Amino acid sequence: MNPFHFDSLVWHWPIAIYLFLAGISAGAICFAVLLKHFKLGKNAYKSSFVQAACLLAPLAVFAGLGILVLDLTKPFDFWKILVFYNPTSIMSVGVAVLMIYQVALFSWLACLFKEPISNWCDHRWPLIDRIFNLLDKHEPTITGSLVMLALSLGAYTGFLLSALTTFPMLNNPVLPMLFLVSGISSGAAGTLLGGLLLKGNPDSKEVHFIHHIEIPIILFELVLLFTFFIGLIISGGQSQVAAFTALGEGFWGWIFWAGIIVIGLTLPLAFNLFMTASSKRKLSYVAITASCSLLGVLLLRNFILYTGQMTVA
Amino acid sequence: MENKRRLFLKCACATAVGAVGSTKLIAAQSGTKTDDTEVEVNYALIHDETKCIGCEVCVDACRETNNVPEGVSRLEIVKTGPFGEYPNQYFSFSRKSCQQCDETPCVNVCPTGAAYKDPKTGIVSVDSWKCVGCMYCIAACPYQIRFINPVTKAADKCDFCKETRLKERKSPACVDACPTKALVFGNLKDPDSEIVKVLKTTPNYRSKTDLGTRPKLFRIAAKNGEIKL
Amino acid sequence: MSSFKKVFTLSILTLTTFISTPLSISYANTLELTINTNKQCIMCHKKNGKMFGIHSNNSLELRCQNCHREKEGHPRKKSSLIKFSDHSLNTAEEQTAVCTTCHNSDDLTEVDWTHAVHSNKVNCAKCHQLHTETDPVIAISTGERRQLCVNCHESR
Repeated sequence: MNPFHFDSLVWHWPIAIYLFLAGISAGAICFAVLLKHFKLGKNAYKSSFVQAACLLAPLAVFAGLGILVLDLTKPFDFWKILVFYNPTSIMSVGVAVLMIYQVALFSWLACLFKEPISNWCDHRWPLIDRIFNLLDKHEPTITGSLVMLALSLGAYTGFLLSALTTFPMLNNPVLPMLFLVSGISSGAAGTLLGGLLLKGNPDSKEVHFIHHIEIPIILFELVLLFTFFIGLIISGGQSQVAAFTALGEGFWGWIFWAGIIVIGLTLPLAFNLFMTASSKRKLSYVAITASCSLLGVLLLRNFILYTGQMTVA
Repeated sequence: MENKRRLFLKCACATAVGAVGSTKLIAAQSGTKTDDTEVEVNYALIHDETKCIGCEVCVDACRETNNVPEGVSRLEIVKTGPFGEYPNQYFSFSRKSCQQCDETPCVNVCPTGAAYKDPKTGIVSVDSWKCVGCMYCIAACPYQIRFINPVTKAADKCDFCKETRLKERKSPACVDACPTKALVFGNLKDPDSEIVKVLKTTPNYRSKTDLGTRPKLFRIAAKNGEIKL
Repeated sequence: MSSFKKVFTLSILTLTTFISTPLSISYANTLELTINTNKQCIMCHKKNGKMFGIHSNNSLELRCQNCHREKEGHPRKKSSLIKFSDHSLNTAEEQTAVCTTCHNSDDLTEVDWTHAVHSNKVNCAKCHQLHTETDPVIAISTGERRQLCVNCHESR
């Protein structure tokens, strides 16, 4: 069985990339919100890490949607998904959430970057001032809805796959939680990497803050992976077959153990603990940790998507 | 500062409650939709594996009647065997086509509503205009009988000849073409129909009923020659 | 005739003889398959007995008797000749057994799975024609092949 071509395969790597990018967007914006509210306050927009997160969130979501549209067999008809809705379809609900998420996202970004934009506009267009004032008044609402929507988006990536009764490995209640947590983790890694690329200080309080959250998240992700696979194995039947096929020998087995567990989770965890204990936060350490984490999440998405479709109910 | 935090929490909770409430509403709505007391016609099909000889004339008839392009098929006959010893060998034939489920996974997942079940006939079809080709339904069908039609680029599958022969009040092409009369088509709601009489008197089975799809393709089992645990 | 004309005519005749004789011999050979020189059978079965199919190939060194068995008392007295037909006194099993002396049943099943289920129920000549130059069932189209199934199995 070729790891990338087999009879029961329907969704290919473009879908995995889309799920990865949607997760990054949701995670990155959550961290931007957290950084603003708990550490940086009004001047959050000046931090290169917050700037990276604010760049990453919309770009990732647009790139993801772009890939999705290109993957359709009728790409020019994509507008039909935006016009026709089916409340029982997770994909349809996800599209609706995605649309509202984008509105909340840009509203929040406008609130955050109010000062620099206003200064640049120089009060030339009173309409813009009015919009900003309106947004400012409702900033708590916008922030609250944005966080809820981001978490929904992260979970949606998992729900999308778990609605498929065809594949016992995907039709699993742990999957949405796993994808949400790994999405947040990838958002953190993306923010760190982006911030460093924007010449942020690797020893800044933002990095400390993110690392503090990242350690429990990685641990939680390991627990979720354990629960996911043990759950499949003890379910017996095709679920058990699916779990063993995925984790066993072969290309995807290597991807899981070496790529996801070692490079994607254990290595970043070790690095993070080392950096916390020794308080040595060099640029290379932070960059390598973040890259490993990102790679791990990307591999996880592909792994779940491909191995999930290998075993049919 | 305190006021803002309170407002933030209030709004976050409100959004959460709203989301949960709307989900419940949707679930309640879809629950009432599947109430089938008003449906008078519910088409189903029997494939008698004891009569099937694996000639695949049904596949040809379907292709011709419904203009199915080469390379894909709405219907397949899966052959397993040979069993037994020469010269007394035999094969086992199984029909692989849309089960016209009562609880349709494909209709549930279609984002645009292109996949739909006609409440008047119980037949599951695809509106090829609305279909955008996301392939969610193809992944969602546990019987793996849906495919992308290379001409229309939309999802396609057996629809009991709904757009062709059924409109002329004829039975599906495969049923008519079968030389051994291994296919029986009819309305489950009609107690005098042949299909109901056969189903009530002959032991039959359906595939993958444990997934909750309530399929309507019934099978009469032939001897299998293999003991599979 | 002048001497030139004599030589010319002679050379033309010689050339024609040397070219046409081998040609006529080989042409005769295509018709003169060894199997069809079987005086015992062909003497009476001139019209329906001649073999032109692939089984007539000289390198197979087949005689009519290989498949149809020995003449014995035929036609006046009883014989154990095998007739390959639906109306034969031989059972389908007996007729098929003749073919399977050379043709392995597993190989036949690989070529067409229906061989496995018809083996002792239907005689081979129901579908195959060996005496004609080409066996019509070998290169049959899928549609016609399916129609073959219908022709026998139709239960109307």
